[in-house]
Amino acid sequence: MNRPMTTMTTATKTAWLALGLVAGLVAPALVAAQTPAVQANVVVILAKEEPGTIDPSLAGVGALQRPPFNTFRTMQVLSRPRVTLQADQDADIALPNGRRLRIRVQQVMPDGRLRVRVSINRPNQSDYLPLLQVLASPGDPFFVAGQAHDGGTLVIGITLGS
Amino acid sequence: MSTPRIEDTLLQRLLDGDLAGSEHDDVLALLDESAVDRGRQQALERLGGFIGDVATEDAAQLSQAESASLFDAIWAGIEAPAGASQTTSDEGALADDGTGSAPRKRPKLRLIEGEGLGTLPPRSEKVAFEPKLGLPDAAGQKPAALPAPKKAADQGARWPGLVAVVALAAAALLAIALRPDENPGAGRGTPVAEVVTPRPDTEVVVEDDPEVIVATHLGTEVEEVDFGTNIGTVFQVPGEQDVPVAVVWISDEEYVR
Repeated sequence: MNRPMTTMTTATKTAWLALGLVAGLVAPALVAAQTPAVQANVVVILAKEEPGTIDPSLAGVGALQRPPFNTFRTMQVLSRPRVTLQADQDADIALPNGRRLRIRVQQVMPDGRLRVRVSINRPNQSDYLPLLQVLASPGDPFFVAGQAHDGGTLVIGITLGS
Repeated sequence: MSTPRIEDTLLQRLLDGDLAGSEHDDVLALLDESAVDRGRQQALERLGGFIGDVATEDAAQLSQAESASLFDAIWAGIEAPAGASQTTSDEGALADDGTGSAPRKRPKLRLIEGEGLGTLPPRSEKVAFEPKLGLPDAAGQKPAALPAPKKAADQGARWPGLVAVVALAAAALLAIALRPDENPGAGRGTPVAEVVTPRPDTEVVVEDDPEVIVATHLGTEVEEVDFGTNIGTVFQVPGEQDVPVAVVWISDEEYVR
């Protein structure tokens, strides 16, 4: 009784290899094509512990009323940049301390959340926050805080797709 | 619900115009004081109207001879001895009619309220005119075959008797359907309640495996972070509607130095 032939011919191997290469090249492009453009709303806040005023526009941001943010008694909105994020394309936002906030939407998750990568560095450097990957629901913010600036602390809020 | 204060008979006599003097005034005074009695009076008027319409329509289909014969048969049954069998008394009555008896005194016919119309106990008067409607057919004779009355003038006076008999039958049926208004103030024709057939719930289609579930405030969370050479921490604080809000706090070594 003859055993079935289980080894592939060279031509078959080549075909499968080519198919895998094509799939590997095309798949990211397909994923990117399925990821819609997303708007990112960024708020850059200069927070200080010394008594002062809280910007009225921040009164509705619940997270800023909680610790540790409530230790700041002065909050000033320095800027509110808005950018439209294309799939797998970086968007840079200049910060007042000379660094750049870079945002990239990587993927729309099955539950509707967005996978986004963020970094904060000086141009052509990696001096502060090389990588931050976040899952964010549209409309819900996340914060990056701690940079020193002008006698206070920078608090950066990022909201996607609201 | 208040109790009726006027007897059915008095109400009916008032509608017939039979009341006079102090009796008439007393009944009117009671009517003014009792909304329930006014409702009963309105019900009687309505019932009388319906019966009149039905009786007139039925009577128009009978000839004078037929109606006179039918009335005679009914009257004979009424006057038959109580102990006699129906057939015997009916035949006797017919025989008497055939002989052409003297004009008898016609009883006063009036609408008799059914059990459903009033709350007063039934009176003996209500059974005084119990009709023997099966009489002509039971005898195997059609009304036309019965001996005709001798006096034409008497025939013309008898056909209303048939009307009364039909009216009694119709009254029994209508009394069930037309009960007195318990709320006389309400407008006529206004339904007290409307029967509404419950509609089946609309079908809800739930996809077993939807491709995308729209996230509704699931908050934010950190999947991966690289602080580089700095010191940092990741935590969450409650945000709007208490959804978790991710916070990355990183020291600024440049500032520290």
